[in-house]
Amino acid sequence: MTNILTDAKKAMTYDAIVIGTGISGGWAAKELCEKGLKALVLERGRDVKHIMDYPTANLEPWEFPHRGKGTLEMQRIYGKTANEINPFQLKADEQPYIQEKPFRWTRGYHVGGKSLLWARQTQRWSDFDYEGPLRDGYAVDWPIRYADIAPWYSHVEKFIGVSGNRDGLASLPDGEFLPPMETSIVEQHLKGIVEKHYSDRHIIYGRCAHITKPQPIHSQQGRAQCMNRTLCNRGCPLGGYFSSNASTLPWAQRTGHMTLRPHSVVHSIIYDEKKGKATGVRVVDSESKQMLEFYARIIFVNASALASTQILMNSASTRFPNGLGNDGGVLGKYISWHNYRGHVNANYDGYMDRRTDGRTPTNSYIPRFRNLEKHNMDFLRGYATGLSAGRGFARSQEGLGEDLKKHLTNPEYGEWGVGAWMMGEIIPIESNHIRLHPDLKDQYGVPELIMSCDWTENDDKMVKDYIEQLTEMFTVAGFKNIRSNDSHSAPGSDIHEMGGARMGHDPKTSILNKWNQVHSCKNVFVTDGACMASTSTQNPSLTYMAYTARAANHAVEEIKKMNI
Amino acid sequence: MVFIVGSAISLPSWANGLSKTVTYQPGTSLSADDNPLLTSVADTIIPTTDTPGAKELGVPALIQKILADCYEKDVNDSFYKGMNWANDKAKADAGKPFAECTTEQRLVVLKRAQAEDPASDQGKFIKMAKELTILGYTSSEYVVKKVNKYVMIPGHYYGNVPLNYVDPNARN
Repeated sequence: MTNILTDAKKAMTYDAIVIGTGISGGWAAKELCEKGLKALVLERGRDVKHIMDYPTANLEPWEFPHRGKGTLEMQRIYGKTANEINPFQLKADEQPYIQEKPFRWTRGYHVGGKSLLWARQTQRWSDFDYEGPLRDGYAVDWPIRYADIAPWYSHVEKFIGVSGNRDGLASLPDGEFLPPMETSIVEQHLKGIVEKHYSDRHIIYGRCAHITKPQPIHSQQGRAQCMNRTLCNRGCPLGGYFSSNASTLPWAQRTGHMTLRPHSVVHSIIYDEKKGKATGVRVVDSESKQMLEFYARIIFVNASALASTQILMNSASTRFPNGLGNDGGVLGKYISWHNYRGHVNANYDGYMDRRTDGRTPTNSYIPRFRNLEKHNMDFLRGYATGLSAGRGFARSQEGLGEDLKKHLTNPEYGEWGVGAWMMGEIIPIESNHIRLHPDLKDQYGVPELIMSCDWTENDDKMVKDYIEQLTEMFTVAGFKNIRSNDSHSAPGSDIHEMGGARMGHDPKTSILNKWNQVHSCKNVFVTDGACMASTSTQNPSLTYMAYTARAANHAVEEIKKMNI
Repeated sequence: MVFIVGSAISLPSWANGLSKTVTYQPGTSLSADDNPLLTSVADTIIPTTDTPGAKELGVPALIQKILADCYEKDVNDSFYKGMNWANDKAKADAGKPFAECTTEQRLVVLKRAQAEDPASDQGKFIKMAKELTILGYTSSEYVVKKVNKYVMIPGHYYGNVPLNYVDPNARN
């Protein structure tokens, strides 16, 4: 009898468990399997196989039965915004949450997660970002600096393929770049004027995870050059942009060490009081609704910032009555995101004999310039800016009959259109938090999350400054018809939610150490957005991938040393 | 162009498991081809000239399908009531059904609908009819290929070309 039980347990035992298959989970799977660890990779949603599970990827506009509109049936399942183009929509009743304050939580619950849906912008952090909290006195000091992460940025960039221009800016370090794509002549015009007019501002090509010149490492992954289809979010059959599905997961699969298990909702992490470490995870099979247990020596938590935090909070034990690793009571607190509220648009009537042609998957980018060298504004930190300018067909829909048809079939080139969007840093504060609902549970028996996050005066001031500065730059550049607005969108609308289990030096004020290990349970690693002690302004995915690769390699070293 | 539900184009496979049966079918007894009123509305909004218009590109059937599959009953009811309003106006003004009026007479009626309260059935009808006709027309194979010269692959991006630039890969 004992033997049968032991054998059964053995069958459920791996070297490592990775919770989540998104952009960071895929990297954990790749690195751990490459190092020879047998990894169980859990995904709460369905499987999505590269190419074969991108059913809409090659459909022409007229091939959609409702020309993209979602049927009533789809609306019933996926919500009012359902459409027939995006195959990666979340079921409306999948995971309810309570908005104590408005919060928009975008999730990618399928193999690949949000790596199929991201904007693919890949900007490195610098020490202007890592030293921010210490210098300006907010959040907690990062336990790492740029030098710790720089080699891992390189490691990741080479593998995923990043198109970029070497700009030589201290605020946004250069990386391992494939050639950049073009930017428009009006973006070039703005760059010339702004860089002459302001000593502190630069307009650069927005570095992106698209393969512009495939290297052998990309061919080995079966990925090809980006063909500017710009249908990225249907899934790219070419693997032109980086996703877990096109890259890290098949790579891990090829080692023969990965077991991918979809339909596996992680309920909690099992903590062994005697051993003083985590021994596995409790999983609810979403199809059978059965609770299963899997065991491993190390556990990587990559379920996405809030979901990873939710798992830790739901992992209570005698040692950790308030959630795994929560000795200081900060788990679920200091939730932060990016401030995307500011928008400035304009027109330009220069270069009227020129236009753009084709489609670009990226844009221009203005790295943060506010409070960079020193703090000198009436708000903390600053913002980066996404920027694009183009001149394609303008197609008026005025009139009826032949007039309308003439407009539709003889599109005219209007003036240049210019658009800029804000990516502002959020200051993590204790009151911006998530917590488990004491009674309400979802269909898998996991307590629902209560979101309690709000803007602060710092954010309002930053939006105001953003709009003023972009308006000024556009004015200097000779743009006209400048329009600006503050969307007052709900927190989370940026899809860059961060924090909840932040890194830090001190277990009393942070959950994770400098290796993304839970301070007080060192065989659990959290390497997604939950780990972020501050947000800076860069699109965060590249940094999550670098943290994950670094932590996975550290984990393997620690196993070798028998430390975990 | 006759549209039969469940033929020609199937739903993407991720939508499998969704019922393909159209549960609410407006204009109950009318199929697209024998719905001359809807056909003439779409044809009036985007007429046939020296190039195909909405009618030839199958837009009326598409409108009926999208309305039935993607919009609630109240939206459908308003649409069809508004369309009947247009038919009644045509009869009152020109003494014959909308579909039998001249292009000029039909345009007068549709423009009258546009001048009505946007919250009225006729206001909702003309807004939706125009929106769906434009959607169906601009996403038709003819317009995508011949007018927009859209090429999915290979794509490209040039940030600075002369206004009259013609890409060698573009459909002609």
